[in-house]
Amino acid sequence: MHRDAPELPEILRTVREFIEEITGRLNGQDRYHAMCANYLLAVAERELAQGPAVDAAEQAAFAHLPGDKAALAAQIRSGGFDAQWDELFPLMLNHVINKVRISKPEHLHPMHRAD
Amino acid sequence: MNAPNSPADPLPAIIERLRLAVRRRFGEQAELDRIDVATLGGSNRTLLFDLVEGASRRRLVFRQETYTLPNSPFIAPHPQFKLLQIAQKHGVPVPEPVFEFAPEDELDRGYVVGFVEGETLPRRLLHDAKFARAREVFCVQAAEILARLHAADPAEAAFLEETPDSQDPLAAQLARLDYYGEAHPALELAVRWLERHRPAAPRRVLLHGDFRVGNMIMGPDGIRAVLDWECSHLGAPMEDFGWLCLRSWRFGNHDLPVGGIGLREPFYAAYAAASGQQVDAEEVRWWEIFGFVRWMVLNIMQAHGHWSEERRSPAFAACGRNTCLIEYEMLMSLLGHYA
Repeated sequence: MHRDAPELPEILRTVREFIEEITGRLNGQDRYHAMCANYLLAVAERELAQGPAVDAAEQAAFAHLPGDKAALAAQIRSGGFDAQWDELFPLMLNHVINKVRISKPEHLHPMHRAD
Repeated sequence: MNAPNSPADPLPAIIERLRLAVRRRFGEQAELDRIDVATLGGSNRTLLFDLVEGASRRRLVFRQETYTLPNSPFIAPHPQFKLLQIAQKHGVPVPEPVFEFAPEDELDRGYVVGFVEGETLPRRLLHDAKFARAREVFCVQAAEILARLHAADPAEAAFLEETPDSQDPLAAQLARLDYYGEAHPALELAVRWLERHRPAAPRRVLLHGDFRVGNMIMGPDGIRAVLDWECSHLGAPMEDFGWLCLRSWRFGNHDLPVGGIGLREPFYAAYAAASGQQVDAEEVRWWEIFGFVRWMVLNIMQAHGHWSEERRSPAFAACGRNTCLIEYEMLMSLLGHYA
């Protein structure tokens, strides 16, 4: 059962809009930290909207890889994927693109933008 | 009166100790004036002040380490001060090293250097009309500074031998990455590529280690002082090239690889002319891929400082979510889409 309004995305937006409003009146480190806080809230809003679909897609795409991120990282470092380099590279690029879409979508090269 | 658990403002006591430290070195008549706080807290404290001796007056900078990170990638104030002296001796422009704190100063670890007037903000240096001339001469100046530094006998900085980056810079990054305890499979692709493409053993030189726009004071005439020597170590000269040319340090001017200001060819040519050593573009590329790894690890370090509760800050939290932006540029560079 849902809780009362506002729902979570609306709460995040409310806090972000408030911080955006006061950022211009702040100086120095407070201003900088307010901008960082805005950034983090925008990341949280995008993650809430896109995260579940991205996670499901990645789970399907990485089904044949070690399920644990640390195990995959260790195998790559030790050369365990040297023979499958060309298959692994696009998968990892796609994984990073997914992360960037949540952190800062405009950072992507036009060839990787969804819009 | 302060309550026992709310510490008093430390500043008056520090300024009094600084006054005594100055008088130990410049005599009882020496005075401090125009004291400004640049940074207070965090991991260091920086004050600006005038040293007044009779009719003469000199602007100086007080820098004190207040906190040492566990497993820190940064060298301590004492070797930093020695590096300023070595750099100055070899004609590298630096803030003049004036004196180091001694135990009787009760100022912990730190030093006093000369103040250098100028600009450090990359946005202004890359775009303001005031710095047009500085941008014109940047490639040649940066190349000549690096050539002078790299010509120093590394034995003069033998105290840097023990820093992990002097032994194997890639292994040093991986040791830190593993300490922070967060796996990054895509980052490991670059690590593996670096392992498989290590350049032939190069000559070993004294490196600045963090040579980029933002870490130098510039005037309309060009570079006036090279700052931030805490990443200095011994290694391959092209490591300083890769860091200066790293896409992350172009501040949006992606088509100007040398610090967001200049092109590679005049920079490489000026270094070859000044040092007598040719620049291998492929080796620079290896160090740029290494630079992405290092810059990612530094961001992971900041995020770790935040979530481990060591030093919480929205800025450090943001570093964690910025790591993938570097990771993306690193993969695009490996693919040849970014140069």
